[in-house]
Amino acid sequence: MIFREVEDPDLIARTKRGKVDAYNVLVSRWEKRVFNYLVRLVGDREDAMDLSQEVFLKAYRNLGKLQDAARFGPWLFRIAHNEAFSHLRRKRPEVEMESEPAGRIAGPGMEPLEAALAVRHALGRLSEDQREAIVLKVYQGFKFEEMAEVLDCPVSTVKSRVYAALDVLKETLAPIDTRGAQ
Amino acid sequence: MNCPQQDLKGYLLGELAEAERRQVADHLSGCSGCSEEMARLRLTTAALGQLHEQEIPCRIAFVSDRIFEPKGWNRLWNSAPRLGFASAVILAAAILVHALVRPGPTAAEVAAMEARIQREVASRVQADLIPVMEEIQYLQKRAAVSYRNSLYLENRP
Repeated sequence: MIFREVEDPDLIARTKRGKVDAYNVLVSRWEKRVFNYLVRLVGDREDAMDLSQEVFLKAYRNLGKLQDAARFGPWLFRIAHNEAFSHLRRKRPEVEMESEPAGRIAGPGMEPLEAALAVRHALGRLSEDQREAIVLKVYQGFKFEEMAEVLDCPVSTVKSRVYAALDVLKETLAPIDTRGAQ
Repeated sequence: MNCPQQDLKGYLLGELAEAERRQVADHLSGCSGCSEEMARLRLTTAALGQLHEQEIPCRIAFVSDRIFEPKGWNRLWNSAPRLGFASAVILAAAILVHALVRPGPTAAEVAAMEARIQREVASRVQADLIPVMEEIQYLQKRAAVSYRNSLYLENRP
Protein backbone atom coordinates (compact mmCIF):
# COMPACT_ATOMS: atom_id res chain seq x y z
CA MET A 1 0.00 0.00 0.00
CA ILE A 2 1.25 3.47 -0.85
CA PHE A 3 0.74 6.10 1.83
CA ARG A 4 0.31 9.61 0.50
CA GLU A 5 1.09 12.55 2.72
CA VAL A 6 -1.94 14.75 3.21
CA GLU A 7 -1.53 17.83 1.06
CA ASP A 8 -2.17 21.39 2.24
CA PRO A 9 -5.33 21.78 0.11
CA ASP A 10 -6.78 18.66 1.79
CA LEU A 11 -6.03 20.11 5.22
CA ILE A 12 -7.55 23.43 4.21
CA ALA A 13 -10.72 21.74 2.99
CA ARG A 14 -11.02 19.80 6.25
CA THR A 15 -10.39 22.96 8.27
CA LYS A 16 -13.19 24.69 6.40
CA ARG A 17 -15.47 21.83 7.45
CA GLY A 18 -14.63 22.61 11.07
CA LYS A 19 -11.84 20.08 11.69
CA VAL A 20 -9.55 21.96 14.06
CA ASP A 21 -6.99 19.13 14.09
CA ALA A 22 -6.43 19.61 10.37
CA TYR A 23 -5.58 23.27 10.97
CA ASN A 24 -3.17 22.26 13.73
CA VAL A 25 -1.30 20.11 11.22
CA LEU A 26 -1.25 23.00 8.78
CA VAL A 27 0.15 25.32 11.44
CA SER A 28 2.86 22.84 12.39
CA ARG A 29 3.98 22.76 8.74
CA TRP A 30 4.23 26.51 8.32
CA GLU A 31 4.94 27.98 11.76
CA LYS A 32 8.73 27.79 11.56
CA ARG A 33 8.86 29.45 8.14
CA VAL A 34 6.49 32.22 9.19
CA PHE A 35 8.39 32.79 12.43
CA ASN A 36 11.74 33.05 10.62
CA TYR A 37 10.30 35.41 8.03
CA LEU A 38 8.94 37.64 10.79
CA VAL A 39 12.03 37.53 12.98
CA ARG A 40 14.12 38.72 10.05
CA LEU A 41 11.72 41.56 9.35
CA VAL A 42 11.04 42.82 12.87
CA GLY A 43 14.37 41.77 14.42
CA ASP A 44 12.98 40.54 17.73
CA ARG A 45 12.12 36.93 18.63
CA GLU A 46 9.38 37.77 21.12
CA ASP A 47 7.68 40.18 18.75
CA ALA A 48 8.02 37.64 15.94
CA MET A 49 6.43 34.96 18.12
CA ASP A 50 3.48 37.20 19.03
CA LEU A 51 3.04 38.20 15.41
CA SER A 52 3.20 34.56 14.28
CA GLN A 53 0.32 33.67 16.60
CA GLU A 54 -1.66 36.61 15.26
CA VAL A 55 -0.93 35.57 11.68
CA PHE A 56 -2.28 32.05 12.18
CA LEU A 57 -5.30 33.33 14.05
CA LYS A 58 -6.15 35.73 11.23
CA ALA A 59 -5.52 33.01 8.68
CA TYR A 60 -7.98 30.75 10.47
CA ARG A 61 -10.62 33.44 10.64
CA ASN A 62 -10.24 34.29 6.96
CA LEU A 63 -9.64 30.83 5.53
CA GLY A 64 -13.08 30.91 3.93
CA LYS A 65 -11.91 33.79 1.73
CA LEU A 66 -9.02 31.76 0.28
CA GLN A 67 -10.22 30.88 -3.21
CA ASP A 68 -7.32 28.72 -4.40
CA ALA A 69 -6.07 26.37 -1.70
CA ALA A 70 -2.92 25.73 -3.75
CA ARG A 71 -1.92 29.38 -3.08
CA PHE A 72 -2.07 29.02 0.69
CA GLY A 73 1.64 29.81 1.16
CA PRO A 74 1.70 33.21 -0.56
CA TRP A 75 -1.69 34.02 1.00
CA LEU A 76 -0.38 33.21 4.49
CA PHE A 77 2.79 35.25 3.95
CA ARG A 78 0.66 38.15 2.71
CA ILE A 79 -1.01 38.16 6.13
CA ALA A 80 2.40 37.90 7.81
CA HIS A 81 3.71 40.78 5.69
CA ASN A 82 0.79 43.00 6.73
CA GLU A 83 1.24 42.10 10.38
CA ALA A 84 4.98 42.77 10.26
CA PHE A 85 4.66 46.17 8.65
CA SER A 86 1.80 47.21 10.93
CA HIS A 87 4.08 46.28 13.82
CA LEU A 88 7.02 48.21 12.35
CA ARG A 89 4.84 51.27 11.79
CA ARG A 90 3.72 51.17 15.44
CA LYS A 91 7.32 50.90 16.62
CA ARG A 92 8.76 53.27 14.01
CA PRO A 93 10.41 55.82 16.38
CA GLU A 94 12.18 53.01 18.20
CA VAL A 95 13.31 51.33 14.99
CA GLU A 96 14.67 54.56 13.53
CA MET A 97 17.02 54.93 16.48
CA GLU A 98 18.73 51.74 15.41
CA SER A 99 21.47 52.19 12.86
CA GLU A 100 21.39 48.52 11.87
CA PRO A 101 17.98 46.94 12.50
CA ALA A 102 19.08 43.53 11.28
CA GLY A 103 21.89 43.58 13.85
CA ARG A 104 19.24 43.09 16.54
CA ILE A 105 18.50 39.66 15.16
CA ALA A 106 21.30 38.21 17.27
CA GLY A 107 20.00 36.10 20.13
CA PRO A 108 19.71 32.58 21.49
CA GLY A 109 20.05 29.95 18.80
CA MET A 110 22.04 32.14 16.41
CA GLU A 111 25.42 31.15 15.05
CA PRO A 112 28.33 32.96 16.70
CA LEU A 113 30.26 32.71 13.46
CA GLU A 114 31.94 35.67 11.93
CA ALA A 115 30.20 35.03 8.64
CA ALA A 116 26.77 35.11 10.26
CA LEU A 117 27.60 38.45 11.87
CA ALA A 118 28.75 39.77 8.53
CA VAL A 119 25.51 38.62 6.90
CA ARG A 120 23.41 40.32 9.57
CA HIS A 121 25.43 43.49 9.08
CA ALA A 122 24.98 43.28 5.31
CA LEU A 123 21.21 42.71 5.63
CA GLY A 124 21.10 45.75 7.91
CA ARG A 125 22.36 47.90 5.04
CA LEU A 126 19.33 47.07 2.91
CA SER A 127 16.09 49.00 2.88
CA GLU A 128 13.09 47.27 4.46
CA ASP A 129 11.67 46.43 1.03
CA GLN A 130 14.95 44.99 -0.20
CA ARG A 131 15.50 42.99 2.98
CA GLU A 132 12.04 41.51 2.80
CA ALA A 133 12.57 40.63 -0.87
CA ILE A 134 15.79 38.77 0.00
CA VAL A 135 14.14 36.98 2.92
CA LEU A 136 11.26 35.81 0.74
CA LYS A 137 13.48 34.80 -2.17
CA VAL A 138 16.64 33.41 -0.57
CA TYR A 139 15.41 32.19 2.82
CA GLN A 140 11.81 31.24 1.99
CA GLY A 141 12.36 30.12 -1.60
CA PHE A 142 9.35 31.84 -3.16
CA LYS A 143 9.17 32.43 -6.88
CA PHE A 144 8.91 36.02 -8.14
CA GLU A 145 5.26 35.45 -9.02
CA GLU A 146 4.45 34.26 -5.49
CA MET A 147 6.39 37.17 -3.99
CA ALA A 148 4.27 39.54 -6.05
CA GLU A 149 1.20 38.03 -4.33
CA VAL A 150 2.76 38.37 -0.90
CA LEU A 151 3.87 41.95 -1.46
CA ASP A 152 0.86 42.95 -3.56
CA CYS A 153 3.00 44.54 -6.25
CA PRO A 154 4.01 43.77 -9.87
CA VAL A 155 6.53 41.02 -10.59
CA SER A 156 8.80 43.64 -12.17
CA THR A 157 8.94 45.51 -8.83
CA VAL A 158 9.80 42.31 -6.99
CA LYS A 159 12.54 41.54 -9.48
CA SER A 160 14.09 45.00 -9.25
CA ARG A 161 14.09 44.87 -5.42
CA VAL A 162 15.81 41.49 -5.36
CA TYR A 163 18.39 42.46 -7.97
CA ALA A 164 19.18 45.77 -6.24
CA ALA A 165 19.50 43.99 -2.90
CA LEU A 166 21.86 41.42 -4.39
CA ASP A 167 24.08 44.22 -5.72
CA VAL A 168 24.31 45.77 -2.23
CA LEU A 169 24.95 42.41 -0.56
CA LYS A 170 27.53 41.42 -3.14
CA GLU A 171 29.63 44.49 -2.33
CA THR A 172 29.70 43.48 1.34
CA LEU A 173 29.73 39.70 1.24
CA ALA A 174 31.50 38.66 -1.93
CA PRO A 175 35.00 39.24 -0.53
CA ILE A 176 34.24 36.94 2.42
CA ASP A 177 35.61 33.41 2.20
CA THR A 178 32.69 31.52 3.74
CA ARG A 179 34.53 28.24 3.53
CA GLY A 180 36.67 29.32 6.46
CA ALA A 181 33.64 29.86 8.62
CA GLN A 182 32.20 26.40 8.29
CA MET B 1 32.87 43.55 -16.52
CA ASN B 2 29.79 41.47 -17.27
CA CYS B 3 27.42 41.71 -20.21
CA PRO B 4 24.32 43.72 -19.18
CA GLN B 5 21.98 41.79 -21.47
CA GLN B 6 22.64 38.55 -19.59
CA ASP B 7 20.23 37.93 -16.72
CA LEU B 8 22.81 36.38 -14.38
CA LYS B 9 20.77 37.00 -11.22
CA GLY B 10 17.69 35.38 -12.74
CA TYR B 11 19.86 32.44 -13.74
CA LEU B 12 21.30 32.15 -10.23
CA LEU B 13 17.88 32.37 -8.59
CA GLY B 14 16.27 29.80 -10.90
CA GLU B 15 13.77 32.25 -12.36
CA LEU B 16 14.57 31.78 -16.06
CA ALA B 17 12.67 29.68 -18.57
CA GLU B 18 14.52 26.64 -19.91
CA ALA B 19 15.57 28.24 -23.23
CA GLU B 20 16.88 31.36 -21.53
CA ARG B 21 18.65 29.33 -18.89
CA ARG B 22 20.52 27.34 -21.56
CA GLN B 23 21.45 30.52 -23.37
CA VAL B 24 22.97 32.05 -20.22
CA ALA B 25 24.79 28.79 -19.43
CA ASP B 26 26.31 28.77 -22.89
CA HIS B 27 27.32 32.40 -22.52
CA LEU B 28 28.98 31.78 -19.16
CA SER B 29 31.21 29.10 -20.59
CA GLY B 30 32.77 31.61 -22.97
CA CYS B 31 32.67 34.96 -21.09
CA SER B 32 35.22 35.52 -18.32
CA GLY B 33 33.59 38.78 -17.12
CA CYS B 34 30.16 37.16 -16.65
CA SER B 35 31.78 34.07 -15.07
CA GLU B 36 33.54 36.29 -12.55
CA GLU B 37 30.30 38.16 -11.83
CA MET B 38 28.48 34.83 -11.42
CA ALA B 39 31.17 33.65 -8.99
CA ARG B 40 30.64 36.76 -6.84
CA LEU B 41 26.89 36.28 -6.87
CA ARG B 42 27.27 32.63 -5.85
CA LEU B 43 29.61 33.69 -3.05
CA THR B 44 27.00 36.21 -1.91
CA THR B 45 24.15 33.69 -1.74
CA ALA B 46 26.47 31.16 -0.07
CA ALA B 47 27.27 33.78 2.58
CA LEU B 48 23.57 34.45 3.09
CA GLY B 49 23.23 30.72 3.72
CA GLN B 50 25.41 31.12 6.82
CA LEU B 51 22.41 32.63 8.58
CA HIS B 52 20.48 29.51 9.48
CA GLU B 53 16.83 29.23 10.37
CA GLN B 54 15.97 29.78 14.00
CA GLU B 55 13.94 27.29 15.98
CA ILE B 56 10.54 28.56 17.00
CA PRO B 57 10.49 29.17 20.79
CA CYS B 58 7.24 27.27 21.30
CA ARG B 59 4.43 25.73 19.35
CA ILE B 60 1.94 28.30 18.21
CA ALA B 61 -1.13 28.19 20.42
CA PHE B 62 -3.49 29.35 17.71
CA VAL B 63 -6.39 27.52 19.39
CA SER B 64 -7.45 30.62 21.22
CA ASP B 65 -10.42 30.71 23.57
CA ARG B 66 -11.99 33.45 21.52
CA ILE B 67 -12.25 31.17 18.54
CA PHE B 68 -12.78 27.72 19.91
CA GLU B 69 -14.53 28.24 23.22
CA PRO B 70 -18.10 26.86 23.17
CA LYS B 71 -20.90 29.23 22.46
CA GLY B 72 -23.14 30.48 25.29
CA TRP B 73 -25.86 27.86 24.93
CA ASN B 74 -23.27 25.13 24.51
CA ARG B 75 -21.44 26.22 27.66
CA LEU B 76 -24.75 26.16 29.58
CA TRP B 77 -25.58 22.74 28.23
CA ASN B 78 -22.21 21.39 29.32
CA SER B 79 -22.27 23.03 32.75
CA ALA B 80 -22.66 21.15 36.04
CA PRO B 81 -26.37 21.92 36.64
CA ARG B 82 -27.20 20.56 33.21
CA LEU B 83 -28.37 17.20 34.53
CA GLY B 84 -30.62 18.69 37.18
CA PHE B 85 -32.08 21.20 34.79
CA ALA B 86 -32.79 18.53 32.20
CA SER B 87 -34.35 16.24 34.82
CA ALA B 88 -36.67 19.01 36.03
CA VAL B 89 -37.76 19.75 32.49
CA ILE B 90 -38.46 16.07 31.78
CA LEU B 91 -40.43 15.69 35.03
CA ALA B 92 -42.53 18.78 34.34
CA ALA B 93 -43.21 17.55 30.83
CA ALA B 94 -44.25 14.14 32.14
CA ILE B 95 -46.70 15.71 34.62
CA LEU B 96 -48.17 17.91 31.93
CA VAL B 97 -48.57 15.04 29.50
CA HIS B 98 -50.14 12.86 32.20
CA ALA B 99 -52.64 15.59 33.09
CA LEU B 100 -53.63 16.10 29.48
CA VAL B 101 -53.76 12.47 28.43
CA ARG B 102 -55.42 10.86 31.54
CA PRO B 103 -59.25 10.28 30.94
CA GLY B 104 -61.74 11.75 33.46
CA PRO B 105 -64.23 9.56 35.60
CA THR B 106 -67.65 8.64 34.15
CA ALA B 107 -70.99 9.66 35.83
CA ALA B 108 -71.54 6.13 37.17
CA GLU B 109 -68.06 6.14 38.70
CA VAL B 110 -68.76 9.50 40.31
CA ALA B 111 -72.09 8.24 41.74
CA ALA B 112 -70.49 5.09 43.07
CA MET B 113 -67.70 7.14 44.59
CA GLU B 114 -70.19 9.47 46.32
CA ALA B 115 -72.21 6.50 47.67
CA ARG B 116 -69.02 4.94 49.00
CA ILE B 117 -68.10 8.23 50.69
CA GLN B 118 -71.57 8.49 52.32
CA ARG B 119 -71.37 4.92 53.58
CA GLU B 120 -67.98 5.58 54.99
CA VAL B 121 -69.16 8.75 56.73
CA ALA B 122 -72.22 6.97 58.19
CA SER B 123 -70.19 4.11 59.55
CA ARG B 124 -67.70 6.55 61.10
CA VAL B 125 -70.57 8.48 62.70
CA GLN B 126 -72.07 5.34 64.14
CA ALA B 127 -68.74 4.11 65.37
CA ASP B 128 -67.62 7.37 66.94
CA LEU B 129 -70.74 9.39 67.87
CA ILE B 130 -73.05 6.75 69.42
CA PRO B 131 -70.76 6.00 72.42
CA VAL B 132 -70.43 9.72 73.03
CA MET B 133 -74.22 10.17 72.94
CA GLU B 134 -74.70 7.26 75.35
CA GLU B 135 -72.15 8.77 77.72
CA ILE B 136 -73.99 12.09 77.60
CA GLN B 137 -77.37 10.42 78.33
CA TYR B 138 -75.82 8.55 81.26
CA LEU B 139 -74.39 11.74 82.74
CA GLN B 140 -77.74 13.54 82.31
CA LYS B 141 -79.51 10.74 84.23
CA ARG B 142 -76.98 10.95 87.05
CA ALA B 143 -77.38 14.73 87.19
CA ALA B 144 -81.20 14.37 87.45
CA VAL B 145 -80.94 11.80 90.27
CA SER B 146 -78.52 14.00 92.17
CA TYR B 147 -80.84 16.99 91.82
CA ARG B 148 -83.85 14.93 93.11
CA ASN B 149 -81.85 13.71 96.11
CA SER B 150 -80.75 17.22 97.01
CA LEU B 151 -84.39 18.45 96.97
CA TYR B 152 -85.35 15.59 99.19
CA LEU B 153 -82.69 16.44 101.78
CA GLU B 154 -83.62 20.09 101.82
CA ASN B 155 -87.33 19.38 102.38
CA ARG B 156 -86.76 16.77 105.09
CA PRO B 157 -88.10 17.92 108.47
